[in-house]
Amino acid sequence: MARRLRGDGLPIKIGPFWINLRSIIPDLLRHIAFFYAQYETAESERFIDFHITLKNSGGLRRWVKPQANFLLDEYAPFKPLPYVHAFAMFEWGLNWCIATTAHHYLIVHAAVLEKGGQGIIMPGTPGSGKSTLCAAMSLRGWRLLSDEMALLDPVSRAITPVPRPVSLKNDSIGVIRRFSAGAEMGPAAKDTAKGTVAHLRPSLLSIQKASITCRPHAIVFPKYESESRTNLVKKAKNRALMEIQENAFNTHILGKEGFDAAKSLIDGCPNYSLQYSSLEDALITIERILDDAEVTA
Amino acid sequence: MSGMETTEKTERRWFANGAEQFCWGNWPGEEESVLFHQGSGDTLMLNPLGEFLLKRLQIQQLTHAKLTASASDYFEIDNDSELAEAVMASLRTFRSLGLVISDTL
Repeated sequence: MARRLRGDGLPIKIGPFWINLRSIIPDLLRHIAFFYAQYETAESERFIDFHITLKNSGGLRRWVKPQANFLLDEYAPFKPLPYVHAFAMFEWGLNWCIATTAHHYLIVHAAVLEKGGQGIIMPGTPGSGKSTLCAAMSLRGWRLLSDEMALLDPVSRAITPVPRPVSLKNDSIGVIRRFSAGAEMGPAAKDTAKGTVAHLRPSLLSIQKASITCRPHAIVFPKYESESRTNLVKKAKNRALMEIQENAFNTHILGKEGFDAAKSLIDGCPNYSLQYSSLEDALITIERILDDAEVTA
Repeated sequence: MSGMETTEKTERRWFANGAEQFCWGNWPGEEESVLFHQGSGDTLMLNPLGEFLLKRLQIQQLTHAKLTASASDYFEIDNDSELAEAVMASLRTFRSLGLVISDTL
């Protein structure tokens, strides 16, 4: 794996996308070996959606405070980051690649998990506790479709999985380590733009079922509030639609098709606001949503 | 009240900016509506007056006075200066967002 990453690149299938990744940066090579060893790879030439290279900055930056550059083809969309943030940069950069090109989907900033064929979509702004809850659910047997983006087919409303490492930040890292001894975490990147970042490895089941779409069963808007009791309330459809639109990356590109898809999603699912501080209580509440589409905590 | 505002109220004709570009989301029992405007790419939540005004302007170009009278009939409220001011404030907001355009008769 490392040899191919250092050479012409390693084609990796991540959800519906094939990426070809090249790099010689040791931290990134370790990240790929730890998180992506179980993903499908290609031996022969094939169509690639994203040719990604992470390389050293040139000149003095090779030696003094070395930096990493993210390249899509030969284009560098981001400013270089410190070398030790290369693996976080890869994950963020891949988010950007998908969000800016995969416009055959309505792309919503949301975690998606599935159990028993029923999908839960959890849109969330940074700090909402979305990723923490997503990590906890994935550690309790839920299939991870995505921690970061819901890829919604505008016509069928099926969600296409793109399971990748769950990005945890700051206090969430310790919360998930304490939540489950089985949490397989990568190293932490400190002092990034988002604070300290570490990733949780998705389950093998999530990776193996990455080609199986799911139907959304409910939309849950999580909000972590310290010391709060778990509170699940139905959310008005107009408010839910506004939040879906605000969390969507490409409604301005899809236009009416995207709006109609978001509206159809809202029409087809019950919508809830979930305030929580206890992961255990939140998980019990979400399990109840699967049993009964009209529940309150 | 400035002379400019009086001119706007009495002589300008208002119409939707690309009537076919308005996409609506409404649900029974929810007062506020969601509007997605394809031209601007913006999504807005509108109160009943705002929804009424824009839907009227999607159908027909109207002056401020006729819009106010129409709103008065629809909501069964007095056609007074308070309503006229509210309609004008809404129209100015919509114009700043690129949802409506005003013209002079």
